[in-house]
Amino acid sequence: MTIELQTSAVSPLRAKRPLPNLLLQGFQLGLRNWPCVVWTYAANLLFALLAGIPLASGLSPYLDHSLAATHIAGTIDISYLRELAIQVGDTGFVPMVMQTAVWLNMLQVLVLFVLFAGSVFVYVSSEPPRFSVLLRGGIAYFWRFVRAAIVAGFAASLILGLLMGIRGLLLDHARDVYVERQIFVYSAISAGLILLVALLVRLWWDLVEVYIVRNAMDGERSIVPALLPALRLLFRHFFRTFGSFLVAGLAGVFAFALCLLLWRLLPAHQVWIACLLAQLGLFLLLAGRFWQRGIEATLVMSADPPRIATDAMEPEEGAELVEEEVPTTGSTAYLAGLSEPTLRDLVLKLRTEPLAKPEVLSGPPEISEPDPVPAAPKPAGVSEPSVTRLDQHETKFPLGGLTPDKEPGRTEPVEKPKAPDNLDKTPHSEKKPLP
Amino acid sequence: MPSLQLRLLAVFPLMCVLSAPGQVSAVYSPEGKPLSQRVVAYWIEASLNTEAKTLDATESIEYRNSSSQPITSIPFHLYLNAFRPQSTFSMESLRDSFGISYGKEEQGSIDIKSISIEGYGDVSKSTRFVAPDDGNQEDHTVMEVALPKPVAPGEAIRLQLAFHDKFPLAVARSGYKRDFIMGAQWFPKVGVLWHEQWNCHQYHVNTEFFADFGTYNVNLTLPQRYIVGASGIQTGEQINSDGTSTLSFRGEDIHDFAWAASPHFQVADDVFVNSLGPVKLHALVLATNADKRKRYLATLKQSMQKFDEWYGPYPYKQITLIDPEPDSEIGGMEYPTLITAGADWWEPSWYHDGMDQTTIHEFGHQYWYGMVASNEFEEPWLDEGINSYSENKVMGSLFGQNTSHVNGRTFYSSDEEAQRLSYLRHPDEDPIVRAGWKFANSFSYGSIVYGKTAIALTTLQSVLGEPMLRQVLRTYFLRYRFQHPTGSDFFATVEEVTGRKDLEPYLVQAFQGTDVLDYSVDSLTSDPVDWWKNGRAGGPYHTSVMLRRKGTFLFPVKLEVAFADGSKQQAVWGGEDRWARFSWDTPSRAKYARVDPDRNVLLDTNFFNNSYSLQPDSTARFKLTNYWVFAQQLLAQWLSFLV
Repeated sequence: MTIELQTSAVSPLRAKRPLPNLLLQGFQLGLRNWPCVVWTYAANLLFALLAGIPLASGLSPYLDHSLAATHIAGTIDISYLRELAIQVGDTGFVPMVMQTAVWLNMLQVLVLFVLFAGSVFVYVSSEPPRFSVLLRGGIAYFWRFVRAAIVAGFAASLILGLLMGIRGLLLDHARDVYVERQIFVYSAISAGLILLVALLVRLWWDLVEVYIVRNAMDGERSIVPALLPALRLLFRHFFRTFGSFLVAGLAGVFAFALCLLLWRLLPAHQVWIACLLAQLGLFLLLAGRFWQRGIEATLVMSADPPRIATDAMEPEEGAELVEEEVPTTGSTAYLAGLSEPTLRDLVLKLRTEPLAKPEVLSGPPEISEPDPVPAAPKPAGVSEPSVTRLDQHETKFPLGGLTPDKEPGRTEPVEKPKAPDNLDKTPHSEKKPLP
Repeated sequence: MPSLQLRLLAVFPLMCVLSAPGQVSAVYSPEGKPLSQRVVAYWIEASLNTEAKTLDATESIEYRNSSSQPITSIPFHLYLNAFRPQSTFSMESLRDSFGISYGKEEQGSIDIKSISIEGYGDVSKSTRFVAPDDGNQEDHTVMEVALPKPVAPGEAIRLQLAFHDKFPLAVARSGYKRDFIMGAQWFPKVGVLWHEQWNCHQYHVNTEFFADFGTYNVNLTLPQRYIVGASGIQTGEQINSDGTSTLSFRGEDIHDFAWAASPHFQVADDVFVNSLGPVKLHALVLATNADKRKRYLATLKQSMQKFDEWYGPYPYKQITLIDPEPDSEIGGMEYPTLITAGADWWEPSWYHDGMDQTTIHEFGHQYWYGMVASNEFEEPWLDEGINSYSENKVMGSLFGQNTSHVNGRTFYSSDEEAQRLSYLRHPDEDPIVRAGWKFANSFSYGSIVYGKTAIALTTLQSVLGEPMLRQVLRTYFLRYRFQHPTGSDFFATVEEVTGRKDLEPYLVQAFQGTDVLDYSVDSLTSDPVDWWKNGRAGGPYHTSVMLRRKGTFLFPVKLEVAFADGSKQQAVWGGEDRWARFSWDTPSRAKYARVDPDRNVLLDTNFFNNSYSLQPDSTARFKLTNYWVFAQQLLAQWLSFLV
């Protein structure tokens, strides 16, 4: 088995491999990393509860001892609710509640941003989904994700701004002719189409974020190399990807709507059960979002895994040609006939053979014989893991569902990887590089 | 071709003949006698250009001096000139942030091409624009014509005018939207000679209209594809060879004439038999709202039945309902024998705050404004406020007292409460009896004229009883229909019918003042009589309630205290002092104290401080907090999806 390190100048060899069931794999990925959604939901709930404290305490003088409150506690008399709003509106209580809510929401969005980034990191890097890892990963990728958000925001503004402008013009003309239900239908349909485009932009942006983390595994810190591959990948598997994205999102929305419907059917005074239903609905809505993230991570890591996985493949085992092409790095020789069992062999080899101590490389790294694994460049600040990332990667991404248990047994040792001649990048044998 | 004036002079006598007795009457009148004084008679020949949204017309007016003084001038309302950017209406709209841009399309006007007086010829040089309210010389909504010779009391004068209307893209009541055109306040209308003086105010953003009763004969020529609804009754239709048709209408004992035209109307007719005879319900509903026809007619019929039963008969032979073009700002308006309603395409049966409420309210104006023709400029509350009260009663009767607005599964609201909430927004800025254009702004006008008046009458009802107040209104209607009553007439009717002289303090505070009514239960304690003995359980208890009058409005209120054993104690407080304390020694502990337990005093601006319960209940608070927390979480999730 050889390992060849290729420069980025080498044109990627297209190796065909099947994509897994994105919905299922994405769901499993999300389920395996369930603490991600739980921690995010917890943050979501905590901030909202904090925002509720001033409201709850401020309403106490108006409601706790007033019989008028019975018109709100049971079936709501809207008049009483509106009067309450008028009464509290005359005090400084409302501005305080609103300001508190605004600041807490801004802070919450920041925290959720970090947690979502951390979750993407966990999904891609196969790190354990602990809160500390979420935070660490989220903070590590924070500014890259911010830059990606700026780029995506700019693109979205252009695309959606143009579409909304066209929609506005068309509706203005339509309103000269159509009224009532007809114009409502046209408005709704056009808004729906723009929403679909917006979701598409969001999906591309999500893929960019996954690529950012994936590229970081290859030592890439810039977000630029993530933009086009994400777009290419999206359009290469458009219907499958977008369809899965929509299904996962809609599942969350439907679950949320179902909880709201059950809430509405409750007797009016059942406040605590209503609270539970509301929270369940919000949790399921959030879970749908994480399902989407799982789908995106599965797609990228299956269709375009980081170089460390593909560089380690030997070409000698013949492999079936598969249906879909995915760009990978690596030489033509050893990537032809790539197959999953070969990867399993490498993993077994890596587990049984001692690893060389990683060294920081100032130039093209040298692979010293007879190290079984070529030394990888060690960026500053990298901590050596107890388990290799590759090992973790293999267990988290079965790449199509095959597991070592199902492989035909191989007893002969694999050959040592051949040292690459020219290295701009080294395969990763160490834990993920943290900035 | 003869000039417009010559043609008019030729037609005028013919018109007078055609309006002679023997023609079809538009009203039920005993022995055919006029129901009103019929001070003025109008004959209008109009031709509508539906493409240019303009109208050319000739108008003949016969005006009789019904005062005891000779008149030397006649003022005319030229309401369409309000839609000029320089008008008082425009300036006030800007002040109140109505958002009217007055682009070219939104500008409207009425130009008097010629004016002459029979026997004296052209008097155009004797006309001038006046601004009696604010002196705005650029406001051309009132034109005064100096008469070459005074008109003695009892004498009549005949004028002929030719005018050109440019209808604006509708921003308020008049104008067009798409191919729907509303002809409202579209012709030169004579002011009212009232209390021996001319009463002819400028058109303000917060005022409506005031005119004399008379007769109208209108011929309107327009493209055949248009369907027209108008005041009065249609008396004829002539198909012209140029693709137009001329529709003839006649109105009697009315003080205004409006019409609406659209090629998209669908006609829906019904009949209601009231105490005078059958009344035709003529609804013109847009094709897109065809499914609303039955609901419109049913609501209209039910309103007619209630008003007939409570206040008196509707004497006209027809009522026309116009379903206006959406987004036209033309819905929700009243004209004699014609109303504009308005419906959304989605109006479920449990929601009555839209087409139902509008139809009931605008029909009510046939009584309070149409027949009891008070001065809407100077005393808008007399029609809007009394009508709002009537509307509450009709809606409560038809749709449930507490659910007359919305009757949903998890929430409900009433029309009466909606009026009260309107009042609560601006409870003390202006008195009810203030002239319309003198209110602080449109928001105060709406809150006070509609909301506070309705609630003040409802509170008065709690004192008199509903049957008594209904009798007051019935007497007021039957006595002052086809006249121009004032607020003093109304209050005098209240005192006369009720036989009570002690209502004056309430009427003065509620209608003439800006006092705010707010009573609160400041504290409630209920402790064992021998409280100093430790470990003691059981009664008797000494219960003490402190009431406070937080506002400046004095009104007697009832206090009720409920006890744990189910008993209750009551007291009445006149509110003379700022606070009062009531105490009882009872076998059991108090549960709660409540002011106005029957919720009669709707003028009270705060219902939440009207009661105090010793045992707190945080259910409502947690319920609202749950909604708030939910909303915050949802918002944050959406925002995080965006970023």
